[in-house]
Amino acid sequence: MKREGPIALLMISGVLYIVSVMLASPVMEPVAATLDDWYKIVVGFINLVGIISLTQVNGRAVLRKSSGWFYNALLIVVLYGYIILGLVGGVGNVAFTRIYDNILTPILMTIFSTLTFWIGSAAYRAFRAKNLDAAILLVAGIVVMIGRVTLGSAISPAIPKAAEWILNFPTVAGMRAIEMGAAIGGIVLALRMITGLERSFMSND
Amino acid sequence: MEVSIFTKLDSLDRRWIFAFQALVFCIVILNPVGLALNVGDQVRTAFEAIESLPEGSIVWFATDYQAANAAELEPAAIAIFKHCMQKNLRVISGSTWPEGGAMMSRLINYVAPEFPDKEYGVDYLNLGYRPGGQVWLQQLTDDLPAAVGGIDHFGDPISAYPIMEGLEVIQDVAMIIGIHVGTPGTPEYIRVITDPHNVPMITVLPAVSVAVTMPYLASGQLVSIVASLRGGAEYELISGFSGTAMTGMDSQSFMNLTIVIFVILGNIGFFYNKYKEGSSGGGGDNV
Amino acid sequence: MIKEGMLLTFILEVLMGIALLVLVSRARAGKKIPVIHEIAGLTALQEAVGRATEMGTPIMFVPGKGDLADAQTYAALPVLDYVAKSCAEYDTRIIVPTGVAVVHPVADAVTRQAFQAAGKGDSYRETDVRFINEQNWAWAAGITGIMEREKVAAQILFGAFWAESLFLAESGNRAGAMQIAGTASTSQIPFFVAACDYTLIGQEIFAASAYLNPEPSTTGGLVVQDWGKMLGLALVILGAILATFGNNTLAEFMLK
Repeated sequence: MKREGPIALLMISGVLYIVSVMLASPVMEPVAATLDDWYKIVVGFINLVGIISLTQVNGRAVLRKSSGWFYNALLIVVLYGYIILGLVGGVGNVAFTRIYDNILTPILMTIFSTLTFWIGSAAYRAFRAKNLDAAILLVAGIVVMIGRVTLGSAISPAIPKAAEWILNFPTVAGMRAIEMGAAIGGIVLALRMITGLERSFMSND
Repeated sequence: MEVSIFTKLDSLDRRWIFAFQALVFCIVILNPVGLALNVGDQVRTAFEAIESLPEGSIVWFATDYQAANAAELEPAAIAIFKHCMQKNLRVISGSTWPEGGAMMSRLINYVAPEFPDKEYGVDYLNLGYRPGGQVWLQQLTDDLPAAVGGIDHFGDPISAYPIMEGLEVIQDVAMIIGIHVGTPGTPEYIRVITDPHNVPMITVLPAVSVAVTMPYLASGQLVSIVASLRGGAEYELISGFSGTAMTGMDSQSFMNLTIVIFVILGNIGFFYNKYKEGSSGGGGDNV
Repeated sequence: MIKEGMLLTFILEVLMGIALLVLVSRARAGKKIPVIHEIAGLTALQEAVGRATEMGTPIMFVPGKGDLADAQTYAALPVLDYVAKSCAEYDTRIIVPTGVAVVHPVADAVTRQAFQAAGKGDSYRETDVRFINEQNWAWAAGITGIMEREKVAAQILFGAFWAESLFLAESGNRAGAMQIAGTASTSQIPFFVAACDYTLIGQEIFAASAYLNPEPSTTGGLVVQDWGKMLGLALVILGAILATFGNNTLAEFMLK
């Protein structure tokens, strides 16, 4: 019974939104804009839920002195410290921007850069010419990897051209097929939700 | 039983790969080879599109990325920003990503010292991040000052800035430079702004996003894609603004080569083991 | 009136909506509807739960980095529901690290409800559905840390992913976890294919819920999805033939 209210709300708002996006009606257009505003407000407030969850999980670990509790404590200090710094001094204050530029940015760049190593190990494992399909994938992968960097044109001008061709034709065709399939899948999922056929994401609470 | 080196090639410990990659990177970054770089069609198109904009036009920088992507995308963004300043264009940025405002501040810090005559609020402006993603983009098409709440990244009122003159909705901008790494990104801009309102867009992308964005280029929904560090290096070359991308080109080439070598070694090991299994009747345990 | 450029979308959505309702009512009435094929990655979900149960270590379910405006998130939540129910039945821990604040309470509710539905409401640990960070690299690093500390037996990655996909999948591979991934984020599919044991590609994730709960009413949705795809394919072929002969009627109709 508790699900029927949310499902009815979902149906009404879903239909209203689709109609307001598709129909050029001065009556309907503000509906979409209002729903958009509501979503923004909800998203804005819901960040608090994330902070509460972080505090709960890490606070509990500190109180129980779980293994590595020092890091949980550090996380809480940094979380609230940076929020307070931003609220008090604004996003333009020197301490706030220095922490961002000199601590967060290099850390994030470093984590992102580790991808090059992961790509190396994943490519080594995955690119095996086990059959004809895999062999074609292997050759195409090597041509694109070499052809998209300066080394490719240094070896032969044909390599970058081959890489461009692979990216512009077979890849685009494959990507479009996947995108189209996913878009249709998304539409059907939305229809299932709007018609109340899909409800497993809803709580009974 | 002694294990052949070819057998081992099929299942190398990943740490060997990591170690070789790190070694190659260090060697090449310290001793650049200076491989020749040519400006490709995409970057040339992007350069010419910006070159053709009339003086005073507004260019919207969609800084929809985060610090992690800075090393890959900033060189292109900086070179394009400098090109805009050189052409006396007005640059205004806004972002659907929480770190977008900070990213634009970084770009300004790189570009401003080279153009001491250019002023914040007159020649460039950082509107920062606003929540709502695609919804916010939609609102920019209805009333831009209202969508940003009338203030910039630092909380100062934008009505005081001369750069805002003539900018009521985002369709008033002459060009969008989308520095995009995910969602919201290029498809959202195309869906909400560039396609319905015929605003041209150049997109600066990480290498991994190029293949999925190519269909938009093929369909004419994008002016050009400036791809990754290589795109940045090409833009530096064509615009004459030297930066960090050129120096990264050699290391990128040799890192890719290292991966290719390991892939080939893996396949040698794979075929060797397959051959041995075949010659021993398929029942051997060679690994 | 219908907005410019929306006519075809409107017609397609109406047609698909009608087809969905007709097929569902036929299925409910016990009439025959087309048969659907299996997706290996989905049947492997039980294997993942079984593995975790045998090893006595948790399962990690990562619901992607999409928010509630992303259809992929809605595709992931029913899979979370299914996996959480299986975990509850076998008394296996499930850890759900969220990276989008707005998704967190929904993932929490789905997991809690799954445990309650399995009659194991008391076994639900609310700190196992934990918000890590909105910043995707911090989120990915946090997940990797949990994976190493908790020695997870299996990692299920479902939903929208970006550059962190390979980081997560390779970390899972290094930790020796069985991995099942599903995403419609096209740029990340190759990474999952390379690093995971099973990968659901594109539209397969939107069909997951119906496969996992094979009631006649949900199967109808899958059939409509396939019909929609066939219609799209027919339009592509027709458009290509017409354009080859210089006829732009279809392209112009699509822009109406």
